[in-house]
Amino acid sequence: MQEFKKLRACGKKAKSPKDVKPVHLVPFLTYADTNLREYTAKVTSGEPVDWRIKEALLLLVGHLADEIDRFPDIRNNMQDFFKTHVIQELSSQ
Amino acid sequence: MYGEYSDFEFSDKAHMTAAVEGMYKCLSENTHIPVKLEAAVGLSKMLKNDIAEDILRPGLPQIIENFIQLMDQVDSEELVSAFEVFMSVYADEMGPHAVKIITHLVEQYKRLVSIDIEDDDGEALLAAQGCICAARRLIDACCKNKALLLELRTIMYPILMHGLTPDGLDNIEEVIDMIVMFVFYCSEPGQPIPAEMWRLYSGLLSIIAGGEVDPEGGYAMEYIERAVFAFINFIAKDPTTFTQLVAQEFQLDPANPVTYIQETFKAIDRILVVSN
Repeated sequence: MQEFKKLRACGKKAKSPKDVKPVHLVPFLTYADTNLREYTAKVTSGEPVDWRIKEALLLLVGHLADEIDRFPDIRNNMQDFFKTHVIQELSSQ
Repeated sequence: MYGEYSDFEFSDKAHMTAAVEGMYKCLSENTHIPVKLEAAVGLSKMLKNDIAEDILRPGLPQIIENFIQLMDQVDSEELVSAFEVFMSVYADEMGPHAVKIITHLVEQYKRLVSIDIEDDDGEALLAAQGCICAARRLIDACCKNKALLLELRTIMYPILMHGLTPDGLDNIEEVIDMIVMFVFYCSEPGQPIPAEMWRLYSGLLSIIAGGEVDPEGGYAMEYIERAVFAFINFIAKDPTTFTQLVAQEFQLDPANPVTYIQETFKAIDRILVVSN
């Protein structure tokens, strides 16, 4: 049983040094935001879209929660991100 | 994703409310199992937030029903852990649902422990452990209600017995805790503890001390400190039975019947021999 727990523990994310903002964090979030907006625009205009791009971006942003939580300036902007890109997913089919 | 960000305090309460209600709908109305599973796990994470706790309270019976249905369809440790979180957060409101939940957890446990570990990388075994943890948490929450606890004890009894076998050893700590709770809260001083419960006492002694052929004691020897609490409770609550003969149907050697106190001293002797 211990073996399973150890294996799971290995999957934990390593954290970068405290207070040092990873250089790619903000650019990536901007990239995700831009692409998700483009995705939404295409859906609205009836253009064909690849839903896997949206799913992948949301998954990646989800995995960054602990990292984002360390920086109040980024964290404070996440509510808008959720309102724009995430909440509608709860009612999508 | 809301679950991942459940530690964040969103200032817009209307947004939070909409998110929790949306997840609740995914759990209760969506027909796709993966969506329901994600919603169930996500909602449990959202319970860190007081707003979510209040929003979900009226829907608790429906949520419990959804969890039970989902656990029938998916063997997931994460799902059982999520259910455990609900039971912990709404401990005071679980009473009316306790019998239904425990009955389900017992059935789930029996089914999960029968699955071959090679077939699913041990996920079923972890889920089975989760069932026991969830049951213990619920029993703990109901411990003030003696009538209910007596009913739960009857339902849980086969699992308690299984917990004292080599196959159930992974859950021995939870099982001992449950035995302690049942003995302490279900018994009044001076009233005899049922023979079935005393059978757990004998079983626990046996797996701790082992037999003459076990040079290192019983296979649960390392849990002796925890088991002592169970022994103390049995003796304190029902000292009369402790000095009497072990019930005839549970005597190991009916030709030479022993009392519980004799059985206990024999086990102590054995533990001292092994320790030395």
